[in-house]
Amino acid sequence: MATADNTIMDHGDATSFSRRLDRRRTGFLDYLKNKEYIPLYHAVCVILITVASLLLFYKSFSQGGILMHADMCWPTSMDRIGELYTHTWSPYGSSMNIWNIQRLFWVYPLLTIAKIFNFSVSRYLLTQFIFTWWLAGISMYCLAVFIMRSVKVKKATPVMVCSGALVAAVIYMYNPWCILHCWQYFLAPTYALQPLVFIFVVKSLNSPSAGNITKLALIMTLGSTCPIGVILLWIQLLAYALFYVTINRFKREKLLSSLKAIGSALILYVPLNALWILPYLQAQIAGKPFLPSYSTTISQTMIDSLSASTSIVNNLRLLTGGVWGVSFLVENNLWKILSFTLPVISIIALLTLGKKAFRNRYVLFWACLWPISVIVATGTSSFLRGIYLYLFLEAPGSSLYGWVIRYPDRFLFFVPVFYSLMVGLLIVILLSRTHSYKEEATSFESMASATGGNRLEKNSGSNSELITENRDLAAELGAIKRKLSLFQSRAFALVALTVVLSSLLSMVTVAGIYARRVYNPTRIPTDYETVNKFVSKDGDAKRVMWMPFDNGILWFSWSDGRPVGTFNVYSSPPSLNNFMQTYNVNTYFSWLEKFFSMNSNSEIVLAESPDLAGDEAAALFVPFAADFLIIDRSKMGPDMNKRLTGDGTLEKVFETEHLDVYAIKSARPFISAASNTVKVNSYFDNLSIVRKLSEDKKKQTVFINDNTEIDRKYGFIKLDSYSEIQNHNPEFEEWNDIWGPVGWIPWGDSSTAIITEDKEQKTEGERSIRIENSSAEQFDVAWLSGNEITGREGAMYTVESHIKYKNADWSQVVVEGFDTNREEWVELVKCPSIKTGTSDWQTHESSFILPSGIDRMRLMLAAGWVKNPAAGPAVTWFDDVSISKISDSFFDKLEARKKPPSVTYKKLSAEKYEVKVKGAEEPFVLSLSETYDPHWTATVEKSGEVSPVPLYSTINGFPISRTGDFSVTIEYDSQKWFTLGLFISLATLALCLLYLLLYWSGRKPGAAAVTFQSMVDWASKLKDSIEKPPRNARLG
Amino acid sequence: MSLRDYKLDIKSNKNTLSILVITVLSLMLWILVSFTCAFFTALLLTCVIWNIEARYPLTAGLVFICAASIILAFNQHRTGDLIASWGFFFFAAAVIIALIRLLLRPVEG
Repeated sequence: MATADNTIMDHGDATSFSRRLDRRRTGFLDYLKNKEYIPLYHAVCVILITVASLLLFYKSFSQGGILMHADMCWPTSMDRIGELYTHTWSPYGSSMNIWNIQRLFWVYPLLTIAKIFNFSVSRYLLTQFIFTWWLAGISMYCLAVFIMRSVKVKKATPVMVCSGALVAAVIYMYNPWCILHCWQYFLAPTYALQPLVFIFVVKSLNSPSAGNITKLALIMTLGSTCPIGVILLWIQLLAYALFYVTINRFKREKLLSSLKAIGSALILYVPLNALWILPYLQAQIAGKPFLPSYSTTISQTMIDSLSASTSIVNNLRLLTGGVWGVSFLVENNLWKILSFTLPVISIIALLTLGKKAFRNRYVLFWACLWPISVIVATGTSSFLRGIYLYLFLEAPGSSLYGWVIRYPDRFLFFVPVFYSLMVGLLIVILLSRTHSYKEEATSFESMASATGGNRLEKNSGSNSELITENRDLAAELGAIKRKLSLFQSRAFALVALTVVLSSLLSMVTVAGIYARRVYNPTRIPTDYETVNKFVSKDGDAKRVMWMPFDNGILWFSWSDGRPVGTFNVYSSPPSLNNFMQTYNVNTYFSWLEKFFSMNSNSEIVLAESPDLAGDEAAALFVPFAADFLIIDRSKMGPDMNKRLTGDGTLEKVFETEHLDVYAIKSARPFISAASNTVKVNSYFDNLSIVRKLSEDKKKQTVFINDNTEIDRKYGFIKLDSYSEIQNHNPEFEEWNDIWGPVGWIPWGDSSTAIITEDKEQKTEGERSIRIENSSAEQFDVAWLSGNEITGREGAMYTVESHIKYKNADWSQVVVEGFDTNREEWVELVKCPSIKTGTSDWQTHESSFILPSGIDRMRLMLAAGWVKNPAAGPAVTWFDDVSISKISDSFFDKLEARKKPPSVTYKKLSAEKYEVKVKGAEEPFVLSLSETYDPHWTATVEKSGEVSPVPLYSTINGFPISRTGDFSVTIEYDSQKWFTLGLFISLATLALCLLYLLLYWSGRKPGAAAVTFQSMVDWASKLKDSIEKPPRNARLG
Repeated sequence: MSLRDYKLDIKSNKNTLSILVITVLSLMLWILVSFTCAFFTALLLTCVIWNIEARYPLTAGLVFICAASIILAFNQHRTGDLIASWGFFFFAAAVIIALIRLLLRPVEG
C-alpha cells in the first residue's frame, strides 16, 4: 500500500515537475520572443568569442609544458606566484618588486580560484592567458553593440548588429598590435578592459551619478596593471572628456558635469589604488624614486632606435613592436598588400557610412583618436621629433616618466578599437543592404503575381489577349527585378564575406607566428626541480647563486630555439641575481662572468700565472652570501666550469644532465659585519687584494667599487692613498723635440708610424702622445715601449691607461714582465685589450700581483694598423699611462684592524630582518646581501636610522657607529607603505562593492542615501528616547 | 557646400588671397619645418577654407593607401612609405573637417 502511495506521489511529483518545466520553458521562450531573441544571439556570440580565444593557444591543448617566453616568465610554484603580488621586494633574484603589486586586483581573483581548485602553474597560466583574450573579445563586443545601436544603420536587425560586433571582437583580439604588445604581465589586462572603460567613461560623462563613477573607478583600477597602462587609460578618459566638452561647444553644464565625473573618478581611483600609489608617493617624497636601471641610460640614441620602425606606414598597419626571437616581418607580396586591410576597410566603412559616421560622436571620437595615435606613435621618426624628444628627455619631470613612454608604438593602443569598430560597422551596413535587397526581391515577386497584374487588367479593358500579354510582361519584369535584387543581395553578402575573410587573413600571419613560437608551452627539464630539492634537503632555506648570471632573456639548449626568462632564479631558493643589474655592462656580475669564463675578448685580460690562479672563488662570491653555486650548462653563454673546477674553495656535490651544484666553502652569512671597507678602482683590485689577504681578513673586508665614500672611523681605506707611480713620464709631459717623449722609445720595426705630441687631444696636462700608423697590413702594429721598471715578486701593482683611436685595428696597452727563467718578456696584463674602430677617450684600470720569476716590467703601447684604407691612416692617442705599486703598509693596515662584532639575525619577512650585534669594539659596516636599493634602511637600537651604501656596486652596506651589544632592524621601507595602502585599497573596494550591491538590489534611487537617512532617523529616535525622561518619571 | 557646388573663381579677391596665404604659409613651413608639415597644412587649409566635405580627402586617402600597399609589395619601401604618409594626412584632414562640421551642427547619438 505504502509502495502504491509512493508511486502515486512520485507520479504526481513528476507530473507537477514536468508542468513546472513546461511553464518555465514557455516563459523562457516568451521572454526570448519579447526580446526579439537578442539574448540568444548574444549567447551564441559569447560562445564563438570563447572558441576564438582558444585558437591562439591551440598548442597548449596538444602538448604539455608552461606558457613562457622571454621576460613573460613566472616561478614554477603557485605559492611563489602568489607572493609576487604582495611583496615589494623579491628575494628570488633580489630585486624591487613594486611593478608586480600593481597587478594585485587583476591577478588575485583568478589566483584564489586556482588555489581552491588546486591548479598547477601551467593550468593557471593557460587559464589566465585565455581569460584575458576572451575578456578583450567580450569587452569589444559590448562596445561594438553599444556604438552600433547609436549609429542606427537602416534596416539593421539585431542579428546583423551581433554579427558585426562579433567580427569587431575577433579583430580586437587578433590584430597585430594586440598580438605584438599584449604581454600577460604587462599591458594585456589594460587592453582587454579598454572598450569597457570607454563605455563607463561615456556613461559617467552623460550622467555623473555615484553608481556610474564607482563603476568607472573600479574598472580603471582593474585595468591599471602597469605604469603605461595607467597613463593610457587616463588619456582615454581625458581625451573623451575634452571631445565631449568640445562637441557640446563648452556649455557650462556639460563642462561642470565633465569636471564632476573626472574629479569624482580621480577621488575614488586614488584610494582604490593606494596599494601602489602610497609606496610611489613615499619614494618620490623621500627623493628615492623607483626607477628601473635602464632609466639612467635613456638617451636620444635610445629613443631613436626605438622609433626606427615606427613609421606612419607601419603604424597604420599596426606592424611595430615584437619580441625577442620572433620575426614577424613576412616577405610575401600578398601579405604585404593584405597588411593594409584593416586601415583600408576602416576608411571604406567611413565613406559608406557617410554623414552617419561623422555625426555620431563615438565614431568621430575614435576616428579622431586614430590619426593622433598614429602620429604620436611615430616617436622621433616624424615631424614630431622635436616635441617627442622634449617630452622624453627635457620636460619637467621627464626623468620620472620618460622611461614609461620610451616605446612610442605603445600609443597605438587606441587604434585597434577604431579598426574593429569600423570593420564591424561595415559588416552591419553590408548585411543590412543584403537584407533590404532581399525584401525588395520578395516585393517584386508579389508585384508580378498580384498587384501589377490587376492594375494591368484594369488598364487593358476587356482585351483578353492584351491582358495576358501584359500579365506576362509584368511577370517577366517582376522576375527580372527580383533577379536583379537577389543578385544585388547576394553581391552584398559576398562583399561582406570578402571583408570578413580578408580581415581575418590579414591577421592570420602574425597571429599564426605567435601561436606557434610564443604561445606554445615550454617543457622544462626536471633537473631544476631535482636540484631545488637537493639544495633544500635539510629543510633550511639555503641561499644559492646561479651562473651564468641571468640578464632577463636566456637561451637554453632545451628551449627549442626560443628565449626563456629567469624561471630558475624565481623558482629556486633566494639568490642575488638582479637582472636589472646584470643587463648593464660594467657590473660585478659581468666582471665575474668574464673572469671565470677566462674570456679572451674582455676589455682587460689578465695573463694568469699558475701560482696565483685558483682558490679565490669563495672570496669573490662573498656578496652573494650563497651556500651553493649552480652552474647551468644548458644555458647559452660562457663556460664557467673552466676555472671553477680547479678552485679549492668550491666542491662539486651534485650533478644532473644540465646542472652542476658546487658547495661554497666558508661562505659569508647573508648579514655580516666588516671591519675593513676598501675603496678600489676596478674589480681586479678586489681580486688582487683578496689574493693577498689572510682567510680571516677576507671575511672581514668589503669593497666599494664606485665613487661612494664613508667616514674613516668605519674602517674605510682608499687604495689610491697607498699607490706610488713606478714608470717615468706617464703623462708624456716631458717631451724632447728630437727623441719625442722622455722615457718612451719606439720598439720593433715601426717605419710606418709617426709619433708626435698632440696638444689638442688630451685627458689632462698639456699634451698626449699621438701615433699615426699608415700601414694597412694585418698585425703591422706600431709599438712604443716604456722604460723598464724594477718589480718585486708578490707585490700588488695597478695599471691605468687612457686611450683614444680613429680608424685603428688592434690598438692596446700591454704590461710585460721579464721572465728570468725563460729569459724573455711575457704579457702580464692587457689594459685595455685589442681595440678596433674609432672611439673617444676611454679609461681602463686593472691590477695584478707580480708572479714569481718576474723581476722587471715595462709598458708597451700598441698603435693598430689601418682598419679602413679609404678612411685615411690609423691614429691612436695615449695619455696618462701608468703602473703604480701598492705599498705594503696598506695590507698592514687591513690586518691591524680589530675583529668585527659577531652578528646573528632572524628573518621576519622578505622585507624585514632583526639583527643582534654583540661585542662591537669600534664602528663597522653591516652588509646585507640583497641588491643595493636606497629603500633598505637599518634602524639601530637607540641610535636612529642608517641609509645604505653600495658595496661591490651591488649589495647594501650600513655604516654603524654604535659599539657594544645592540639590535638593528633592517627593513625595506616600501613594504609598510604598501601594507597601509593595501588596507586603504581593500577598505575602499569593500565600500564601493557595498554601494554597488545596494545600488543593484533594487533600491536604486540613492540606495545608500536612503540607508543613511534611515540610520539617521533611527539614531534621532534613539536620542529622543534617551533624552526623554522615563514614563513613570514623567507621570511622577 | 560640396565640391560639386564649389566654383573656384580665380578672379575673386577672396579666393586669390586665400591661395596666396596658403602658398606662402606652406612654403615657409617647407623651408622652416618639413615638406610633410607644409603638405598637411596646405591640405587642411584648402579643405577648410573652401568648405570641402570630409569624404573627398577620405577618398583620396583611400586611393593613396591602396597605392602604397601595391608599391610596397614591389619592395619600393621609401616610395611606399611616402605615399602611405600622404594618404594618412588626407585622412587626418578629413577627420578634422568632420570635427569642424560637427561643431557647427547639432549632434546625435
